[in-house]
Amino acid sequence: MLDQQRYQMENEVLSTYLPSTAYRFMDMHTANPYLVMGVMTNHGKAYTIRIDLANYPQNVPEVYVTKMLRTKDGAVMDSPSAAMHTLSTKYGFTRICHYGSASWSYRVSLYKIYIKCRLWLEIYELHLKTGKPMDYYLNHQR
Amino acid sequence: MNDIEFGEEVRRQGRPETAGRSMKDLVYNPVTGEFEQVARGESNNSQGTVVTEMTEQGFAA
Repeated sequence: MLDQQRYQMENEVLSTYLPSTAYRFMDMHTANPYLVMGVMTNHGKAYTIRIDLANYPQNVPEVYVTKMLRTKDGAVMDSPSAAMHTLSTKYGFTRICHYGSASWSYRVSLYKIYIKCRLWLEIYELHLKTGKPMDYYLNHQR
Repeated sequence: MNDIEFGEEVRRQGRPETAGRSMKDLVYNPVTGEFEQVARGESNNSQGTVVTEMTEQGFAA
């Protein structure tokens, strides 16, 4: 669970790099706090991501694009896929596979997770253009 | 750099053994909100955050 000191630090980092309208902490005094962030890709397409904070920073937080994405072939991205770097859906949203447990450190900031998921979305749009699986571009963690 | 070239550079950073070694760093520029590829080792803090380790170390799953 995000303690007050870590929350303040994360909020400070985010406010340094992002406009205050680009993110919002939600339900912070409940068992299921989360962070909602607006993301704009290089091509100007807008997405919203949700970072569940219930087990952050001790464990890898679950991150979702707040809609169900589809592959270039039209398949829903609702299940674990090594080729597309996704995990099982929740809330009806596509779940991004970003950091693995083996590579996780409690020091990883929410801003860094934001950048990594921003990169995932950039490569997702490239997949829609080329049809190549996302793991053609994004390596698998060893 | 167009998006196809951008993707191929990301691929080279993550898969140098098959795609050839990249001579660029991936930088996220918070001012423009865009990713940029700059000559390796020549980025400075004013350009943004160097995140080449994300492409080199890869993604889970």
